[in-house]
Amino acid sequence: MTPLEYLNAILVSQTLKEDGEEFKDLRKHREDVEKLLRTKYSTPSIRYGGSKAKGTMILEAYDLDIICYFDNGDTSAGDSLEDIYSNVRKLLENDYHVVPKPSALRLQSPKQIDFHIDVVPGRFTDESKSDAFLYRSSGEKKRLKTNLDVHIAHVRDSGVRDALKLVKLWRVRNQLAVSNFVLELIAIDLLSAKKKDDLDKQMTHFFAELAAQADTITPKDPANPEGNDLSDALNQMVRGELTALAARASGRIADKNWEAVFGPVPATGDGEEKPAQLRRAVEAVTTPTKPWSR
Amino acid sequence: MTAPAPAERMAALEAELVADYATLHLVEQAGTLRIRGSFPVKVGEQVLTWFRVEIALPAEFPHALPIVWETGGRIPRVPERHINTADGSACVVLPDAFWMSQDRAEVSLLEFLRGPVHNFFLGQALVETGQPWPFGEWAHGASGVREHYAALLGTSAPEAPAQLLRFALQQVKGHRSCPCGSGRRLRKCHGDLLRRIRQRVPADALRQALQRINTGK
Repeated sequence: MTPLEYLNAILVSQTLKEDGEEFKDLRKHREDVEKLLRTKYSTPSIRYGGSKAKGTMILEAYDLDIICYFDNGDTSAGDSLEDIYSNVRKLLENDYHVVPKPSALRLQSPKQIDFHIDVVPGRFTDESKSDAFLYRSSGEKKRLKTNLDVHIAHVRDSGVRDALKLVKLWRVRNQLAVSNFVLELIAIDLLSAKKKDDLDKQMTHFFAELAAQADTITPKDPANPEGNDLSDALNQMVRGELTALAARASGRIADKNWEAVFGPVPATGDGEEKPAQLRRAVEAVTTPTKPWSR
Repeated sequence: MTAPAPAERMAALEAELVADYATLHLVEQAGTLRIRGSFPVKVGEQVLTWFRVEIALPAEFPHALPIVWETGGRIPRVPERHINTADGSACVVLPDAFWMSQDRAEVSLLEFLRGPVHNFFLGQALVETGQPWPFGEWAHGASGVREHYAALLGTSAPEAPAQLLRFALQQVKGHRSCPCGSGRRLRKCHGDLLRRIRQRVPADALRQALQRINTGK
């Protein structure tokens, strides 16, 4: 298998089926969340963003952003952005375990099963309902100006979406501290002159350049290029981790060991069901151990 | 021999780790070494599923066990799934049982990952499909500790596990009555077991086990 064939096989294995369980669950949760938000707030615009809208969804990292923006003069959820964030959070906590993120609210079941959904509360900056302000719980600035449509278009029309899916898989597999949004911006920037290259060449270039530039690179938010400072999302620890892991990936690619970067291509077509595969793994265990609970 | 400097220790651990686990890496956070990434559940070279993890190496490592968290929001945070609800950590193994399976009171990172951690996540993947834990499970809390030491002694006498632990923590002579309740002297009964426990289970782990049994927690 050539590197290009291998990467394409990885992408196929990461494709979500429209009629699959993941999409069904997402749709169900999306309806439930919107219904809950509407029980208290009838006015905000509720829209959907995230990797589905951007065309970068993968099986191991599929997220839905539920955007909940109040009109510029609407104070039904509070006067300040922080009030809006807190009040929407309180409402969601009636039904969900809510994990606060800098500008979004991650939803989990009461037993903390992740639903792959972020609710993003905010307020439109003016009557045009285009740009919005979000509360930001970390960083120096407590306010972030953003634009959902600009973000979606920036990624969707980047010309390197397959590469972005692989970058996302690499980030998720390695649990990198950098946010997906920031890493996507970096990747689009690094690959801007490589859109016509084959995927394997794009990825080789991406890892080599990231290893060389992660110490200094600071992407610009396309929705507010001069206003949003993303540098606090790239502190020394994050930059160090990116440099080290990109260099490691680059070295493995140089050794033609792509599997060490993205893992083996999952076996398909042998008809063996998951429980049977797992039982086979159980039979292969030579030193059984039992879990406990404190 | 002096202990390796933190940077050297980190590099040595990283080298050991990545040879087997390409998707795990080490980071230092607030003075603690942590392993982050995705843990593969494998059969041969085939990866059946991945679990996102964070694993902290305590300052006492390798004389204390790593602490494992599943960070992907895949496992419910409930004791029935062997998750400690207080801090979300995974109870991958009963420490006392693990130490007894080792030759000495030290843990090898790779053996810990290949053994208890792999078995734990393999079990979780099976339980997700509605099947039971493949190798059984220990009772929760103090009951599991008692169950383990009672099994080693081959007795169900309620006082026996605590007495065994007290003996392990003291310099007890072989003429004492064996804690298993057989009526025989220790040296003629479970003296070898007591020696193995002292060799393999760190004293801190023994003290914790005794405290759990005494307090029932």
